[in-house]
Amino acid sequence: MPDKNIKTTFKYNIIEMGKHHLGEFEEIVMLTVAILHGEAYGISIIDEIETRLKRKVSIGALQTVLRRLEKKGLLTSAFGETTKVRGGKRKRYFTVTKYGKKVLQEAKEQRMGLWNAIPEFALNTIQ
Amino acid sequence: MSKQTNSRPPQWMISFFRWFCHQDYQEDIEGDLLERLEQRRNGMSVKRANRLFFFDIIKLFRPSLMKSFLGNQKLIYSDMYITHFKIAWRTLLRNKGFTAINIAGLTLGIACCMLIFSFVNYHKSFDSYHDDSDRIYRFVTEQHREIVRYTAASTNPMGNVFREEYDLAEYVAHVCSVEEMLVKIGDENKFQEDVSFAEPDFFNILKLPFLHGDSENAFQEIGSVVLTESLAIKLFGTANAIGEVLEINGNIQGKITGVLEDIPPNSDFQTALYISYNTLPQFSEWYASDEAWGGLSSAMQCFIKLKPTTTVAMVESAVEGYPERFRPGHNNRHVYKLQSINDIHFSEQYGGVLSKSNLNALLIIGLFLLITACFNFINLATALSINRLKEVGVTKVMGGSQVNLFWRFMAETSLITIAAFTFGLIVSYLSLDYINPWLGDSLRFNYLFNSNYFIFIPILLLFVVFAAGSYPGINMARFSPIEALKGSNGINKKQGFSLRKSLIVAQFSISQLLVIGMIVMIAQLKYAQADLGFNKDAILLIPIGSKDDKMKTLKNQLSELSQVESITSCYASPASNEHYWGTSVWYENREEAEIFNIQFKGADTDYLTTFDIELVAGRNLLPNDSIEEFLVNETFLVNMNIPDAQSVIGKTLTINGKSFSGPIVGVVADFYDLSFRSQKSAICITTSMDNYNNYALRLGEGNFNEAIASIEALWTKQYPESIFTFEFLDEQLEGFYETEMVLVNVIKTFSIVAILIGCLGLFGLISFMAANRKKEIAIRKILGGTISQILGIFSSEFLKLIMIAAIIAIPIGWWAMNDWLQNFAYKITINVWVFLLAVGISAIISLITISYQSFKAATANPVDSLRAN
Repeated sequence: MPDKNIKTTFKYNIIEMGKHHLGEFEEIVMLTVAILHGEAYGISIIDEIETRLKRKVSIGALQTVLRRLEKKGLLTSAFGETTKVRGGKRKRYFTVTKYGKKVLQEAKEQRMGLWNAIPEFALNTIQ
Repeated sequence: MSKQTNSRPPQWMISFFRWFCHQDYQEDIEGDLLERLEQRRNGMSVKRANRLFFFDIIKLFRPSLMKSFLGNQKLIYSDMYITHFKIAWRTLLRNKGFTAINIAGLTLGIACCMLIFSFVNYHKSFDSYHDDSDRIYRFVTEQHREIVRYTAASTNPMGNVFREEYDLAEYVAHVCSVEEMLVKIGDENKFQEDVSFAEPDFFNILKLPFLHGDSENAFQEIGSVVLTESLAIKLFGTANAIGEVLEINGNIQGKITGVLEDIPPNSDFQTALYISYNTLPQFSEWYASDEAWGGLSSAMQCFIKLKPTTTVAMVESAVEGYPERFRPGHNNRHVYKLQSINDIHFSEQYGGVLSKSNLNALLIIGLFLLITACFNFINLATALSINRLKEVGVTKVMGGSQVNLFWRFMAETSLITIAAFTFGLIVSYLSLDYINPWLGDSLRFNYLFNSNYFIFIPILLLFVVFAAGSYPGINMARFSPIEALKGSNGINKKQGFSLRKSLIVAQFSISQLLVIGMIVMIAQLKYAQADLGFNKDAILLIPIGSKDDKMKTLKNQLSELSQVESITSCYASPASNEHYWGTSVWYENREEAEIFNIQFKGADTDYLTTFDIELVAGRNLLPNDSIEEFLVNETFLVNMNIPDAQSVIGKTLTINGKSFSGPIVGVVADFYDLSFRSQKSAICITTSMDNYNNYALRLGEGNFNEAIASIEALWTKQYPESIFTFEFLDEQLEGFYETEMVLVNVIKTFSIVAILIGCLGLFGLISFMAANRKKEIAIRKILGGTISQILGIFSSEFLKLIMIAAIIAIPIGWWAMNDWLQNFAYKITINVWVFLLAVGISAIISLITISYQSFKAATANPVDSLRAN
């Protein structure tokens, strides 16, 4: 499996260099998954975003982002139990990975760094 | 529970979702979707919830969530179809001979179909391009006497009266067309052109767009001339010829006031030169006259564009009283009708080019050819399928279904059909140059871009694929795998062969039918052109330049030429479709005109010798310039019910509205004065210099070109102003049967094609049979069978089929051709030899086809045949 190793190393390098930028919607989804803590699956994420941020999210848009984040290793997922509701289909629960947590924190620190860099008087002058 | 059944969304939406969604994501996303739907159902109508559900699915239709196009999980499965074509390709290559035969047969069939379709499509398009063509009509006249004669002309004042009295038409326009008028430009340039005197509204009725000038103003003044672009270029060397002058007919001074776009080939109105109608009196007072209700000239036509609210019946009943009002006392009763412009090209009564029934017959022939080609395919495919038993057996054992096998076979068929289509298009394109001259028109493949082809070609393609492929496909798919693999023949051999037999019988029937049709048509045309009661061979017709002493001088000069055996100046040759003058006749001093029409044939005393017309009683005419004496023909006696020819001699004959009168001095034997479609007419021959149109010269043996050159020299010396033209009578008379000639040529070609296709199939089948019966033949030979016995086995088989086919083809052929012959007043009777010939031809050609393969099989060394395998 030498091929696979090379790929992993390559991916890891990118991560180490901190070059992954989270998109705005990606960040919201990641944060929501973190909020729901173990209860995060498609519909619950949408409901949470809709109630907290008052914005409409389609299943299509959300699923695309979830799969992308999972592919990048920021999220991980597992099937839940079979239930009688939802036509007997299992839920897929998402959780934030260790690496995901790191990226989220990095994003937060970058923001805070930016906030802190703003001089007090500069904010005050904006009416 | 009930809630759950309630909440089930439309299944097709789910199916759609499952079709495109990636396998890995399907379950949980579907669950999410359903959960969302349940949530929504609490707050809104089921319909609305379902709609939103559908939009959710649509929004999931994105590449990142979809199945891929490669690998195991595919959005579209194409591997199997590709395999079908791969296997089909290999099979076709393995049986190269049969593939070639199939493609060749289908190519011929398809090429013929394409040509026929182009031909029919072209003819159906005639004059359909005029705006509101459903409202454009032509006045036509029925002349009721003892028989009804149909003329596509109207009386000269008709349009004017109708226009003034009724407000039913948007436009009414007369057009008077004269063929081959002398057109002079300056002193030097002379041309002969067909000319139409047209009223301005003619350009509002037919679609004749102006390039230069406009229809409103172009025709106001006397002598205004409008011509087409290409004629303008021919006459003046420039398209914008406005203001140029020309002289027409030696006395009409014309000035170009407008240039038209060229007239499309699919129009029956091809006149390229129009003169304003108010110029007509300069050409002929009679045509322009408001009183000329008596006669009828085919040159004079009247077109009308109805108002949208006007019906044909309204116009016809409006003009119903005209004959009574304007031509009282005529026993030639006129009935005026309207003929739609869409009917002009197809109407046999009114001189249309090709009837719709002829076009339909052609389409049927085309279909026959295609069916013949498909039958070939079916025959060969079912025969060959015995060799493919193992393939089918293995496919089925491996899990292939009947449907799979069927489509695999269809793939084969469609490969062959597509190849045949490509070749067919090429063949039909290449053959256009050979076919066009016979069809007498300009069939062009740019009609390919006609929208009709986009419908026709796919339909034809599908038809061929399914007609040819479905039976063998179903047949092969049905083989039982066990039987097939065991090696015994998985199909009922006998049944398979009887189907093949009946297809061969059908093919033979079709080709025999076409051959019967061809023989009857050729025989009838030969009959109609052989003996007309006068001599039509080596007769040259040239125009008469003037009606004065010059005419006589020239006649004398011409008669002195060594190549000229005899010369006469005449109104028209005994049979003519150019000049035709029918008129009422009064016999002796009877008050009433006779019920029949008499044909006026003006001619000098040499008419009878030049045309070899026999004098039955009395004497020939005496030389005269005006009308003094008459000769009549035997039909006149029959119509008058006078048995004794002598008794009419000396009786007075009066014709042409009582303006010509004189004693009958002789009776001539009957001759055919029109085509064989019409009955012979009563005819009178009389001297009448004013009405002579042609010299008719009988040429002796020798070089016609030299003779014509010396005749032209004399003629041109006498009439340097005019253009010399000539025509041979027999060639002119062929024009009587133009449509029939086209049909004969078409059916000749198509019967050859049908026979050829049949032969291809036969050749394929006999090769297959010979190969399959190799061992049987070897054993027969070892046991003492002779070559001729073995040949007999093969040929008797097919001869039987040919005979069965003949039993089908003969009655249909007899019925169809008898029907066709009803078009003729004088016709052949269909003899037994026609059928014998047709069947004989098909038998001989088939035997020749099978002879090579059967002879090869019969002479093969039995040792080789038995040792093989």
